[in-house]
Amino acid sequence: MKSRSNQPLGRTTQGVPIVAQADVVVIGAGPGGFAAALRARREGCSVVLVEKFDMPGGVHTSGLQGAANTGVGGIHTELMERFASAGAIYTATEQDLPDWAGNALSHYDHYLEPGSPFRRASFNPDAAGNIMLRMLDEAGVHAIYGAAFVDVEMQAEGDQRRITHAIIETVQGRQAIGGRVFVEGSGTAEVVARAGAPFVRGGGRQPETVAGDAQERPIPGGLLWIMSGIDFAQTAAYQKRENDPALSKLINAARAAGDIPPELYRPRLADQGVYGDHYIGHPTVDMSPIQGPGTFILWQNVPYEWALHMDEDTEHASRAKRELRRLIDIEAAFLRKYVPGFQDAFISHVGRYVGVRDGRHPVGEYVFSIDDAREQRRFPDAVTHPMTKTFFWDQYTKYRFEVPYRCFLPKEVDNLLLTGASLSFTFETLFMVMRNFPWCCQTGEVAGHAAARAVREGVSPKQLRWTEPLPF
Amino acid sequence: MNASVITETLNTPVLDRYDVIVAGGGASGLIAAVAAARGGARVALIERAGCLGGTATSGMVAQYIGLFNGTVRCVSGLGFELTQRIEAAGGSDGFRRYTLAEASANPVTITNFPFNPEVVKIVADDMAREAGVDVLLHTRVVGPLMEDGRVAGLLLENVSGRRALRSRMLVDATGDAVIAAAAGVPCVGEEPELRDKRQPLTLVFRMSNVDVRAFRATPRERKRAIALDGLRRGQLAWESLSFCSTPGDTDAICLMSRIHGIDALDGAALTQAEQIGRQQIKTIVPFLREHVPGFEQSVLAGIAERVGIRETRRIVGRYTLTTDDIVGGKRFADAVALGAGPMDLHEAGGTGVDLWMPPAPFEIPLACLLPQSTEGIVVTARAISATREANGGARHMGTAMCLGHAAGAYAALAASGQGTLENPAIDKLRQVLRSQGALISADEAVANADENAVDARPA
Repeated sequence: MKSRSNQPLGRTTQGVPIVAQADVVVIGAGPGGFAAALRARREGCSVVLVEKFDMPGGVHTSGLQGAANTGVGGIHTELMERFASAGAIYTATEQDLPDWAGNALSHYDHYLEPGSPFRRASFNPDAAGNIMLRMLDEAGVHAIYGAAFVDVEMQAEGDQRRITHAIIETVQGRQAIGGRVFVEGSGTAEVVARAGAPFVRGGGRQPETVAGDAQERPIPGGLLWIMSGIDFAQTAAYQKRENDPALSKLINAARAAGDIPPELYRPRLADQGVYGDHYIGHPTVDMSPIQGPGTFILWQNVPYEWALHMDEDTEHASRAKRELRRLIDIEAAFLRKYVPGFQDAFISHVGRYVGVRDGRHPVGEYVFSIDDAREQRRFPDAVTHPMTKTFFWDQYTKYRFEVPYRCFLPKEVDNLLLTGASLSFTFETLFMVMRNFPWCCQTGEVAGHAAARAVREGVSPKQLRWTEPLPF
Repeated sequence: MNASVITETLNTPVLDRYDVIVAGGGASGLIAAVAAARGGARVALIERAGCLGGTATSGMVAQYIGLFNGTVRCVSGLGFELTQRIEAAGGSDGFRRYTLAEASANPVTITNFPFNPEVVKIVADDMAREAGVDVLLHTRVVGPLMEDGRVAGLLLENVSGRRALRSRMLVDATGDAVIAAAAGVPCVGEEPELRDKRQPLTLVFRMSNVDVRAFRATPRERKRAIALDGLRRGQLAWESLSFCSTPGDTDAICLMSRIHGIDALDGAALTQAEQIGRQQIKTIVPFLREHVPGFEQSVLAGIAERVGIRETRRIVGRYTLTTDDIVGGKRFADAVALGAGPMDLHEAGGTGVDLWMPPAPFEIPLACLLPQSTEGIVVTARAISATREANGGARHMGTAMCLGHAAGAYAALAASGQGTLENPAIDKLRQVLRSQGALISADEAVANADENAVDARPA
């Protein structure tokens, strides 16, 4: 069926050379696309997976977001086990960092009682990417790296339309990949947008307290970077000695000396109801141990005020990359110059990918809203058994609910399945909890399974009757 | 002490003859009586308390739920009219978004209709009177008057003594299938193995002089910490600071007692339940005053005159509703009422609750209200034919109103000879229900959601 040679299998109606044909074509190899491709292949389908970077994993590898969660079952558990057995998971505890729990600089553990035990596990993003790459090869997924998805070709069928080919841009120019079922793994609904299916832009409902200018401000994305050579014991000793838990004295001194511009270390937009007061502005250094003693990951977010739509505007995306890299440089210089323990530290890695937290949200056959979670709704076409998730937007309330298969089906397109951050969810729900590594893996498996079933049964994903939750 | 049974010979005067008698004046019975009367029947409504409204008034549960599934309204017609009249009478500020079991591990946010129970008593009197319903309060139902195997009337007792009323149709709105069971309709819910599984009872109480806004402003995690602390101290009965506020935000009506292991069909056990409930309230009230923001200056203003019962006996009717029907969105040709949810099973013997919303409004067929073979009777409210789990989503007062509307309209038709058990004239019944504004199709409820929407403010 598929061809790995350079001999085209003919041309599309638009004249693009067809280089491969598969049962399932997956665009994007983040956790959603990765799991979809692996699952569909393991269920016997031929699968082509297109990835713009040089390895699978998306924001978790190319983007450096290496938080290692407890396995939730299925491919996610398999990944965590493979990362662990390859020695790619580093776990910091109170033995390594006695002053970490409750520390104001800690991204994840700042809310703990100071001095309390903790376990902060992270995987090495590059090692993880290599393992994921190998897993795809072992399964026989035809992965194409370094290829940009640029368009689709479609065919009308009643009030629905079918994607016939994904068009990609490679070192050989434009190429087409034919498929029966397509999977949206871009994380920003690029396939949905190119297919002309409906979506809601990022930057939805803004709280009245801040949106006086009617600008649509997406939840800001962030760029992660890694700094090595940090002696955190010295930093902790300084925090205690000078009673300066958030390094405010050092930040103020650097600001007074002109070493820190206003956009670095912005106050949180607290008490204004902006996105549950979370992730908006980092008033101080925001970090987490990642790859062994002295190596930490740091967060640098797009200022909320800039209203960048990085998923749909080239200039916005470029500005984010440019400005965040500039801010990372400034932050690194500040840390080395002012903060005890950082004098010998250095930038060891900057993410290849500015994470988009609030891109396009496709409108599917069902749009899951935060009220569905609040009402703990259940569905006849639930994709998993009821899951319990903590919604920090609602003061860390735990809701137990199900997600219907219809959220995986974009309106108007018959043979496209959604995954991960491109599911048919409203932005609050996604931002809250429905965009992390475990959940994205699960959605990928659901999509991969649905694609494989559709191929086996000779129906489209939309015609497929989903009645049993997928066990994890 | 030789004989454990004595035989009485009774000469019971027959007071009157009605087209329809409704036994029980709760949410379902009130609406059933009004529906039957508006359908042209001569109607008597029998209630054991001194007021109509049942759980809403005597039970002091000061909120109707089960009227909305998400943003889709499931109750129209008479039930919705009742809410609008309560609001017009100053008894409510309208629909609210409300978090049930807020301090529990699993809170669920729904749309409810909080009210002042005292105003509901007055509005219920008005609705019954205007419809021409003959109401008998302070009257206990004793059992059915049986003739030729069919229910032909009702035996009752009140301060005048024991009396009988004849009926062409009887609506059993007792909630406990009291009449149906005595008439020989097969029932479930009394099995000995259910003893420790039944849903707990709750005795509701009212605190006055509460700063409700101060309570609402308290973060949820703080409320949860307070609730768990109260449980640890043994002062709270379950992990919830659960109350609704009356208009004016001065009073909190608290659903905070929780009484386990009671068979509410056993007179001695039911007595014990009231007493245990009051003992729990005795320890909850000082806890509220000492530990809960907004309750510092509050006083205990009232205890419901009867304990709230979630689960007793249900008939085994012509169809038994299941959770699969509810989650699967099963459609019925004889659908006469819509349920909304939430599905609500309090953990038997425990301190938690399993709450979840069905995917959409669900249909309830007339067959769930009808006995398999006994003529002359239709059953409504939480005694309809449903599994325990399904009943956990169908026993809300909003759903009880819809069922009452259907039961009353059916009884009026049957009393006038237009429907029998074997041939219940379902098309005519559905036509009558529609003409009285009832929602009986889940698809139509969803399609008309925008038209039927109300403003629901945050609580």
